[in-house]
Amino acid sequence: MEIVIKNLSKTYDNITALNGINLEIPSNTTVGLIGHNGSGKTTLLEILCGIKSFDEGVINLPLDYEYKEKIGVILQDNAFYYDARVEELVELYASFYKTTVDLDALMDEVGITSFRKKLYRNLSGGMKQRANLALALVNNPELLILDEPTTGLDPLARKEFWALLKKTMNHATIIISSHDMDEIEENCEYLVFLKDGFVVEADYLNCVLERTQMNLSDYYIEVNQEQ
Amino acid sequence: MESIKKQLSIEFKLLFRQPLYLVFSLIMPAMSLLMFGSMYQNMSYDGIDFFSMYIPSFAMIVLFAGAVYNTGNQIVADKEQKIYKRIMVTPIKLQRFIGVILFKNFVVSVFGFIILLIISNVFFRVQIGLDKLLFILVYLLFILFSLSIGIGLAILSNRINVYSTVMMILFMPMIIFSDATIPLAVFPELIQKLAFLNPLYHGNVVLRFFWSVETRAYYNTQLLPSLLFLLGVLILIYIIVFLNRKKLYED
Repeated sequence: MEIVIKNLSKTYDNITALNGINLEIPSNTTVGLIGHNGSGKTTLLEILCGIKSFDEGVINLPLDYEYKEKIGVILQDNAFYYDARVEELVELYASFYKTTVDLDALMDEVGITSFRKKLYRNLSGGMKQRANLALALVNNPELLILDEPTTGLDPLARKEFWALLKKTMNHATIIISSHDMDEIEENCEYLVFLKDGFVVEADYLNCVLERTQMNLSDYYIEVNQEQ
Repeated sequence: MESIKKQLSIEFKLLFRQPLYLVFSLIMPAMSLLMFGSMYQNMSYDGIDFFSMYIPSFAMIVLFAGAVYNTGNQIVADKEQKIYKRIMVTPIKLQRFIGVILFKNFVVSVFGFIILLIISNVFFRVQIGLDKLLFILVYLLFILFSLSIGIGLAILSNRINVYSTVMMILFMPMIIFSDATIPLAVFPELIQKLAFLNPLYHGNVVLRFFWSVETRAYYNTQLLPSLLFLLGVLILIYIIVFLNRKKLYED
């Protein structure tokens, strides 16, 4: 799914979260979305999820209920019924979509079969994120939107999460926000870098790194230190 | 339809995993009827028997706990946990999702009433005949009314701690001063006057009115003021819901 955004703006009261941004995200790429807290990442992702309105601009996606059939999402504050079992949640969320994948196979693939009977509240951080991923994949999405999915996970769980993502999603556009530059550099093909609601960078990651002659962490620090 | 069935099934499973809801909405009214029924079954209130007065009263407590409190409590908690935000990224409309929660509480309220009828019949030999059809219809309408109030309260609250605390503080006085448990006549005159501001008092009057020929005669003059009061509460709630409708979708 290709995403074209033109002149997108969003303001909360007196704070401008997105300031006329333009983006062209190629289909079937893994996009790393970076930026400091308050740079507009979550606002952009929630607009793309169809749960946040915007003030100005054009997006080539319909953002309606039909569109939601085709996307998978892990929100930053992802929440489900804590007293439901993992398999109950997977079945419930699958029932929301017209077409779904084989749920047993999905649970196997994502590695949640062993704790499918557990209550969601009793899962560890890593287990929760696996379950969240399964819930995002029940409809075999064309676009996967992940808002800081590895935040709070230990290094091993992060590594497992990325491995899982690569294993399960090789046919879709993935947009993933993160504060971990190493994992973005290691796993993403395309970079969108936001600062104060403006696009600093929107290009293939290897082009960015080649042009700047820096690793992503250093580039991130340099840009954010500029006034 | 499949998703409604699935959600409903999970909603009921969750109800049994969080038994506090059941205690308030089903067990407490049933136990109260058993206890007070055993103690006062031979009492008469101006010629009206205990059960004609108190089956409607305990039914109203079922409504208050099952439809008002539980609805508000769940929706506020879900909102606070951002469960609805996650639902909104799916193709399911949020109104449909909440509709299933309301339906569950409708069923719980009906079930709570059926338990009261069974207890009345089995333990106290109260005859429940076709003459109660009108009461049952009014009770069903009252569930819808109670769910509307529950939704209104939920939209107004964003924090479950605040909601629970306020409801817990109000719960007992509202029930005690509703005439549904302790007769209002035993309280000082000032309390009796203040009870007129208590929606449960008016709910109790309306439900009692529709229970039998005797209660209809007894509450004849009080029905209209109580209906108007409850209608006023309903209108007020809908105005508040309309003015605050966006709160349901906010972070």
